[in-house]
Amino acid sequence: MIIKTEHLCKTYKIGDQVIEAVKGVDIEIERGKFVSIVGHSGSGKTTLLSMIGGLTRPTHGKVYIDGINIWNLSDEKLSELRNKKIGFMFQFSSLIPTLNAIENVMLPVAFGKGVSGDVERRAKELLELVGLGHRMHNVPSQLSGGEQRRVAIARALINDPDIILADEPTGDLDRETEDEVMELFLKINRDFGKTFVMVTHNPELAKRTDITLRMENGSIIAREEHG
Amino acid sequence: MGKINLFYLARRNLKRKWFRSLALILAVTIASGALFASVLMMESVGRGAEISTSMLGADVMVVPVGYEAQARASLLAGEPNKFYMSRSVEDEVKNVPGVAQTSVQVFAETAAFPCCGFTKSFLIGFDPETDFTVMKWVGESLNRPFGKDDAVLGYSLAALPGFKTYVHGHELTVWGKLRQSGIKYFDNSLFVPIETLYDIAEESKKGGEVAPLEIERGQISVVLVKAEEGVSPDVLEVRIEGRVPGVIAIPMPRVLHTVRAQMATLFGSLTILVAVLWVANTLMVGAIFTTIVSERRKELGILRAIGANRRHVFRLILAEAAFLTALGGLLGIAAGGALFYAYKGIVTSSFSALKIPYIWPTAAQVAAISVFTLISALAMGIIGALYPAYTSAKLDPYNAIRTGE
Repeated sequence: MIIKTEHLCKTYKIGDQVIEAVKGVDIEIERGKFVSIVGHSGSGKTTLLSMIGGLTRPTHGKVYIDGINIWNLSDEKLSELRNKKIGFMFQFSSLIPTLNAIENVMLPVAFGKGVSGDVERRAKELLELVGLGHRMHNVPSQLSGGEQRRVAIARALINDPDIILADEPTGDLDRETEDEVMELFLKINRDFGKTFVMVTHNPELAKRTDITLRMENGSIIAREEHG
Repeated sequence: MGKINLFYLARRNLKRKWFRSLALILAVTIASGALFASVLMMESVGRGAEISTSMLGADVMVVPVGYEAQARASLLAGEPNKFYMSRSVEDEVKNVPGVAQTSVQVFAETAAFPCCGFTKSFLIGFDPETDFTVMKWVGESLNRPFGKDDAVLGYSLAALPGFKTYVHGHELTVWGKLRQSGIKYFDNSLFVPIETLYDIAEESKKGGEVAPLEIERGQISVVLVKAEEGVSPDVLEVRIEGRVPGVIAIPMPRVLHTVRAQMATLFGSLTILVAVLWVANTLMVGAIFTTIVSERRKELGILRAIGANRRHVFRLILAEAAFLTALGGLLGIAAGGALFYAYKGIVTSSFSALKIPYIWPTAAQVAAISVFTLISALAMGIIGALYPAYTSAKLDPYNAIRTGE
């Protein structure tokens, strides 16, 4: 299992009120699978994804990535793990506005240790892969929403991670662009064997993944495998 | 394309709100310029006083009672004051226990008429036999011993060795020139043997169209004293004043101390102003970077998501602040230096009017003050941005991304 969670919980305290965002979630995801998480707003999808990605500390429970209990790691080690093993995609434009497309793609390398190989060449190849070889020197404000998502995909792949975590990556895109981005995800999953965990509201997109996990009130209430 | 690293990212980030960055740079420029200029001025004044007293080579200067201020003005500002006492004072001073060596000088001023080659110059008679002040600073000179009708010229007086000049009609040969010191007492003076000065004074009284030199043979202005090893100038002061009536002994360290006290009064408010500017700018950096961190929460969260650890984020914020303030510091040094250089003449004459010696600092001093100013500017940025950098490093990545959306 590349991802495993054990009784994962997250509670927030707002004043006197205690909100249980995620309640005892146990999941196991095999390497190379494309998993989607669906559910209503506030069902705990994004919180679960951020705990798996090492972005928010669970109140209880464990997250294992490749057998490593990530919440036992120091900040430095956990950041290194995010840098090397996980690529993130968000539901908004997550590019740095002052850097152009290729610089955004190369950015994660700046935080890694022992960078090897020609980073610039790899960034160019990735931009070619996502169909943006001709826009590599454009800053985010000169790119469309779909193009920005594709740059973010290239950035997520720069360190050749095993896992891509995507939080409603097509949320604000039109149908056609959403389809293009999804096709790209499926291609990367199929051709490079990357494990995908994607939070989405769109049941049509979820059907195109290997497994769908349905969440409600912080718990996984159903697991559907697609053919 | 250059390598993407934290410093590159920091530099690029500063461009996004260019007016805010520019305003901060200008504020730091003003503070750094003020710091640079005031430290430069203080150092120059301090150096002037130090050189004046050290070049003289004396531990104590003995002058007639009531002429302490004039003696100081003569030494520090090269003012040709006239005050006299009997040369017999030198013998009395010599007998004071603790005195190792003495030499006398008599002060006068050349007339403002063509009878004198160098008009309105400080004319100083010295005793070549006992001198330990003048001859050691001679740069170029004629290749023969110093004679009775020879003169030594300060660096600023325009004549070369061998040149003939006149003082109240008395012909003198320029025997040597002093090296440049920046001290008016040395640079602007005409030094002649004391006996020759007495002759000139007597000749000037035989008639003529210009006012004669009011010096009688056997009169002197100062006795310069070197103390025996282990005897402090302050002890010598007490001994001389106790044994020689009608004189006042001025220890040289006190001359320096007086100048420093004058400097403290003069620069006191300037120092406070610079300190206030520094603190205000540091607080401003803190306020601006708190806003920057708040504006960029989402972005900082994304940086954490793609692999930046807390130290990376901390260093990124500090680097941005340091870039801005270092740039302001460099501009401040350039602006302060340019203004200072442009008003060099005014600055020098203002200090001269205050009877405070002023010497343009050496390249090494300017370099050291520049480094100090740059470090101060960097410290302004780093200290100011310390708290925002700390809070940004402590941000929970998920919260930062969600609340920054």
